[in-house]
Amino acid sequence: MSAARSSEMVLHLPTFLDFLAGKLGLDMHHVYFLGAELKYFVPIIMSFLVGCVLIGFSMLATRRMEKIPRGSQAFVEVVVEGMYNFLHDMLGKHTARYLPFFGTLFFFILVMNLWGLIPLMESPTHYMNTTLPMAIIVFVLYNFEGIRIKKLGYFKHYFEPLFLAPLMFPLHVIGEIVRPASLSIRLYGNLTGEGLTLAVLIFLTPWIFGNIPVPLHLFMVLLAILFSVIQATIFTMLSTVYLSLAIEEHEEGH
Amino acid sequence: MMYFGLIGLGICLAIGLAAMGCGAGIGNALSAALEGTARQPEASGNLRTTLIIGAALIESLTIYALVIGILLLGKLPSMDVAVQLFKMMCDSGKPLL
Repeated sequence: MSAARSSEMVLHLPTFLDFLAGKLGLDMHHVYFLGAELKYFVPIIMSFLVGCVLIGFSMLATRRMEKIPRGSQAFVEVVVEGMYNFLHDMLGKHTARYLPFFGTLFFFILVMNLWGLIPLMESPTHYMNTTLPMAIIVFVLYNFEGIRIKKLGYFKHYFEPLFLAPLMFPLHVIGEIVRPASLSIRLYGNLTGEGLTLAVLIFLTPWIFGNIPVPLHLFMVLLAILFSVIQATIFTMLSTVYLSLAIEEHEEGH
Repeated sequence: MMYFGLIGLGICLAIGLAAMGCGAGIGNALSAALEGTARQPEASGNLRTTLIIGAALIESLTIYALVIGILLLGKLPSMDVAVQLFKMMCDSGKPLL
């Protein structure tokens, strides 16, 4: 039988786009644009806004660069240097080449995670549509760089214990495919669980306290800030580890 | 109805069992970190960072179960559909799968 699908499985807090659509008389779930329901454009618009904020801030901070940094330029320099030290433990002499990519990845994910805590905004990472492409980009990057640096020798690790090669090859292939899946599901699941808890607590408040405004979800906001930072760190760190495993020079007889 | 009941049971069991394993894992990690800190207090900062990252990695296994739970939740009918199904089952007199 075809059970009527409930409109929303995961509880989402309303965003300003919902109010906008309500003003314009559009139903987010049934109006189609470019072949997709309107609600699928929410994370795209949100991540676009995040990108605008990040690009705007970094352009503003580095507009008039000085020899002795002050204000926002000093802040950005500290941040970049911290990122460099963080990556240097794993990448070694390749750090400078990959610093822009992983730095961008980290701050993009961090600001996207924290974006949902602003009223009337929603984290784009509450949707698989945002996290899976990022994981796929990382997957393509480390495979590409591995092939670029080690040429055909890169594929040697698929047959690693050579006498067990026919047995190990499928396992290695599955392991490769699982990496982007686990990266994206980790980020998506953590942020969705966080947002779900926040939404449930917010919707619960009027049932318990009536019209008295009590910030019942305050402790969850503090936890959410912590989890957002940790998840952004983990995504960046795991992709760095994958890359360093792909490009490391393998010494014989370990 | 049996189908939906099993889905509901599956969601609870998935998250419960995953949380059980992850709890044991995080407990192990925490006890080891505490022991390390007690023996070598100057290494506590380094240990804390590693512990938090490791705990988040272990915790993500429970999150996978949560994602499965959310996916399965989408298969359940809404309340009025379930009531209609129950009425149909009562009218027909046969157990409805």
